[in-house]
Amino acid sequence: MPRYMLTFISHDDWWEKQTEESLKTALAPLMSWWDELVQNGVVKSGEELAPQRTATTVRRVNGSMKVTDGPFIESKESVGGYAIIDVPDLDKAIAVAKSWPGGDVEVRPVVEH
Amino acid sequence: MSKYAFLFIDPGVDYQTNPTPEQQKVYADIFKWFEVNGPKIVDAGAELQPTRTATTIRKNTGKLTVIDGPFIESKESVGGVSIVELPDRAAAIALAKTWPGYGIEIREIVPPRPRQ
Amino acid sequence: MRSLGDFDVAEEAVQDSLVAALEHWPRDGIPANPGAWLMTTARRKGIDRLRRETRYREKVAQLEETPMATSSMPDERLELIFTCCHPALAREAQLALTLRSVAGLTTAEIARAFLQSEATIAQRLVRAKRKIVDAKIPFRVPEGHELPDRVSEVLAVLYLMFNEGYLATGARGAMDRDLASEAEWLTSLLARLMPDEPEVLGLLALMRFNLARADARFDADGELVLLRDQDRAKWDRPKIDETFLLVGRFVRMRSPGVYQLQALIAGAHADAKSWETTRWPEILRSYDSLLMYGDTPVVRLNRAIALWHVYGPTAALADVDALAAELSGYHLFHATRAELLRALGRAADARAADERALELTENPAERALLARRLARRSR
Repeated sequence: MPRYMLTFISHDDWWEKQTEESLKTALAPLMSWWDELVQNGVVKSGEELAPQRTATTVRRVNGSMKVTDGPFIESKESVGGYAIIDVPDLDKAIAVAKSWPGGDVEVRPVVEH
Repeated sequence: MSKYAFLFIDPGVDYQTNPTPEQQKVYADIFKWFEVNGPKIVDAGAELQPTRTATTIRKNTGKLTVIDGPFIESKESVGGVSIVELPDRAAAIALAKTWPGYGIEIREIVPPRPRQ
Repeated sequence: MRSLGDFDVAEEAVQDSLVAALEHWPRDGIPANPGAWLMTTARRKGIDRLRRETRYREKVAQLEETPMATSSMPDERLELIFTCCHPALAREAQLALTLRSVAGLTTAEIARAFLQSEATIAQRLVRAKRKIVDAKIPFRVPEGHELPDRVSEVLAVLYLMFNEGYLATGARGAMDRDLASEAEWLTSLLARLMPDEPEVLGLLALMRFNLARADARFDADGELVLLRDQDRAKWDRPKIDETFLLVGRFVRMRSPGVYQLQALIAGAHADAKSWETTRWPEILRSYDSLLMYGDTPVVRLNRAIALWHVYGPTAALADVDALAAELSGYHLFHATRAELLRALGRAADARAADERALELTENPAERALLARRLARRSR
């Protein structure tokens, strides 16, 4: 079946507002969702990523690779994590994305070789 | 040893549609890079189709809305993801510098959170 | 052949279809059901020709009565409509694709309708089709639980198409009836394919009530006439009566929605002998219901006009002024304020509001109307 990548969007604002308690409450449904979809074979792989401010970007400038601190793009919205899912078509991929208990999700088809 | 996500960045190139000879060479070099660095790559991950194939689910209005397009419009975008395992951040940066493509954003992986 | 009255037209239409088939099939591959493709294209091209004839309406009604061809042909038009209107496509793409693939308009016709270049439309269509293929948008009628949202999406596309034609902004003229008629044809098709969807019937009724007033919207000089001032003798009474049957159908389904409510409002107007004797309390109640589906400034603005006729201009003006922050850039906000101020005898304030409205109006016919109003009052 075709694969799609779900990119889970993270908002710096949101993370800043959380306490240890509120975080536990907010993340619990995400963990359940993850476990359930891994178990039923929809989610094949994926990871939660450390916040964008901890990123390092390496980029080709005038032929050579230049290193900069931070993400490749400055934005309040960033990649918070991703999942690779295995579903028959975009409608199913959208349905999975809609079921994510967290925030916004981008859905993009994977290149199959 | 730590795991890092390599978010492969490209400047809006569509390798799938009429790539130029230069682009084809880069693409071939990328294939070789994956072969050569296989041992360091714990999850080959996926290569993504261009952002014009993206669809974003938004929740900001309280209602779920399906919208054509990626979550952010920009010249540069994520073209794929792989997970590597290396001793430290410096090693990750060194490896990223050998990438034949346009760029890589390096991020640490958050280990699986404890279930309640 | 039995579905098109004029033999000559029918024959020519089939000829055209064969030519089209020879052009398309080598490029796109032979469709799964070639006979059906030919019949669909023939009917479409037949309709194109008939459109240009005076008895167009009668012919369309005939075609609508007759179900499509043979049992061997699966009717995939519903799948096509839902695919063209998929939410993963941008609104502009949905519009262009639906007009091209379902309504059979040429790229040139679509370009003219939206005042854009043929190249722009062609590119938009190519991109949309590529997304369908690359992202694997399935060719299917959505399942039960997905249906409400997906039907809403289709109706939003058709409603936008209708409004583009009915209230066209831009230089192409005060009202492009063909685009509005196209939207009505598509909605009517959808209603036949999904006869138990009340919102589809609601939108169709709304469009038909509006179209029934078409002949009264412009006077002998080609100037726009507001609903309030229209010669109701020019309204298409038979069409209005017919549309009330549609209203009866959706009301009996007891599943209200935004398009049904708007249809009820349009129906209340269509049923009234005059602006003054319109059942304003009923219209006000419909707006109150509409607000429950979405409390937006524009709905509140329209509600205020009904409120005016139930509770007077002072109360209405208070409601309208409360919307100033959100609607200060909207020409109808100022035009409505102007009418209320005039009703309250505040002539200078009314004039200022009319001037502001004129500054913000893009539609040439609406501009002309506002300009005339200002000119009259300055005497």
